[in-house]
Amino acid sequence: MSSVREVTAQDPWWKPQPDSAKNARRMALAFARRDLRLRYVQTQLGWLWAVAQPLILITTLTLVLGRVFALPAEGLRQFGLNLAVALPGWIWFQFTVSQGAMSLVANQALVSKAAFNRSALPNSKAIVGFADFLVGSAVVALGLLLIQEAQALALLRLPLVIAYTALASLGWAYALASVSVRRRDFLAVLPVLLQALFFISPIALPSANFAPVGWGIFYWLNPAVAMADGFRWAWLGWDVWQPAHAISAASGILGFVFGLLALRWRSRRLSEFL
Amino acid sequence: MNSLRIETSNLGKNLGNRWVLRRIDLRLEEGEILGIIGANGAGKSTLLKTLSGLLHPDEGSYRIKGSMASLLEVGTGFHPDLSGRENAFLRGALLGLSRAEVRELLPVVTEFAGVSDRIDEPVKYYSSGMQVRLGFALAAHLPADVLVVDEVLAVGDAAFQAKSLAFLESTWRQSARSVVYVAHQLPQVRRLCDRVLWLDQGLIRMEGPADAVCDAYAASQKSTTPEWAEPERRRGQGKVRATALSIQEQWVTGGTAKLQLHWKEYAPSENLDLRISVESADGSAISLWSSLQSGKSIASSQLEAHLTLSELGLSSGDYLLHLRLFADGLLQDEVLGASTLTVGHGLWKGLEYPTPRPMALQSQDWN
Repeated sequence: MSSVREVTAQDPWWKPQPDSAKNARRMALAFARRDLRLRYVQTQLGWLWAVAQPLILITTLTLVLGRVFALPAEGLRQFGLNLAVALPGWIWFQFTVSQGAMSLVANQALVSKAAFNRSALPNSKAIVGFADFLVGSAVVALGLLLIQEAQALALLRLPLVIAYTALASLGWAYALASVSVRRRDFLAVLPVLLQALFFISPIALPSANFAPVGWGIFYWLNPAVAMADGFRWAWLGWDVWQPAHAISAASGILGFVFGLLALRWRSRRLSEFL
Repeated sequence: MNSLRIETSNLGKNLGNRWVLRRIDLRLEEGEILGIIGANGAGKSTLLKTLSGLLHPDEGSYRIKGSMASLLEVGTGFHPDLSGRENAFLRGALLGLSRAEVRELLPVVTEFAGVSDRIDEPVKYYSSGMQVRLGFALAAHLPADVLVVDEVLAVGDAAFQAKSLAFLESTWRQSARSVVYVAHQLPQVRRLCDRVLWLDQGLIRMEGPADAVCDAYAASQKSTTPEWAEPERRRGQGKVRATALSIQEQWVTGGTAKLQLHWKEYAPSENLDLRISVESADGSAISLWSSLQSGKSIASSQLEAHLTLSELGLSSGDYLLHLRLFADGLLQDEVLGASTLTVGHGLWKGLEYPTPRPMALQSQDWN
């Protein structure tokens, strides 16, 4: 039984290729493996950096922001908890968006010469980011165990939040990667935009304590709100939800669908632009 | 039909408001090797890219049965920091192989490419020759049902190219693999392909048996009266410069052939060597005629020389002559493409010589 590929000029742009799902999975893993191999080439500490990075970030942010807000000891502890459980997820989110957005342009030699499912490149970035996320989460888990804060039952919610984070970040990555094939403006400002997103997202503080006045619904359109609070819900068992969180979650999931369609639409003429 | 691998119907591609490919109907059976030839911009790459799924057709359709791998530019695209092995896995994935399948192929591939002992080194420490050899070897050993390849043989040194050609000839031709092969070198196309498709400005100009199409293509390529370069722009020291090379009457296989050569003398020399090298129209070297071989020394003051070939050992077809004048072993003048030559049909030693292609013939004695 061999496969048949049939293509006609009239095929609608959203029609998937018969073996494209299998192809996408294999390619995403192959690209991720490449990136992970290359990651710590010519470094001394190698994989220790994956552990050191989140530790350094959590510690500095807690101390610096704690000082800025002049928090007392108990406040500092709460603050550190909030930050620590949300930060690995945020790092993963922004890694997937920034690297994924660049991935088609950065691999243009390959993209213009080989036909593979294009989502594989952004997906591979999500996989690489997930590896970092796992390391960061292990550090967080260890910390929570030490201070006896982890909620064993609530942890069952973690896969749900992880899946949401992957979808929401990939949606943006797909959409930005598709746009960047023709217009690279976004790639230039993306680091700044993500930095800004960090400050308007409830990463260091839960949205209950941090919702800018006068933003109204716009604050909740940010998919990272549901993500960051979701990690608190899963790690610490806090009941963080407000009705408005549904807007944020819907924006993340719709963003994924939109990104997926954008990428498929762009894929058809990709080799003509790169 | 069951064994049909590729079928296109009225396939067309429009790029930048220009039809770069149009009305392409082609069929490729199982085990068949189809060559695609044509000038630059004739649509060869567009056809390959369309069949490989990189470009979506703007007209018509195509159908491919079985697993397909598409190899555009096999020699490039390795990651310098990754080992040869890791690069092979990545390339393999691009070509549709799982890691297990690549692992299985790898010993044969590295052996063929001559990189077995260095496969775990980063590719940046390979010579460029090693990189292209590895790329080719991987491509050539792919188990796909349908291969779409662009210029795979244009890699490596002459020895590796010869080895590659021989390998493809024996493996591809004997397997059930179907291959669409684009190449610029006609001799390779003739050796490898069963059928050839000649593309001209996006349309099929001719399709048929390899030799027939290649002959027609080669004939269309030759210019009738070549223009010589200005003497001062030609290579050589310039003691003598050729002025004319004239071929008398129609040359035929096995007949008597004569040509005349004229030159100007700028500095005297007693010991000229007049050389004419013969190429087939598609660029293969066929023969060399040298005045030194006749044992007579020719003085530059002679200003002209006559060559007589009593039994012309060239099969019928089109050739190109290059002219080089030497004095005491040093190049004085060089005229590439000095003349075209058409050899007509004739008998060789009273018999029909069994070759359809331009080549040098040799008197023989078998016992």
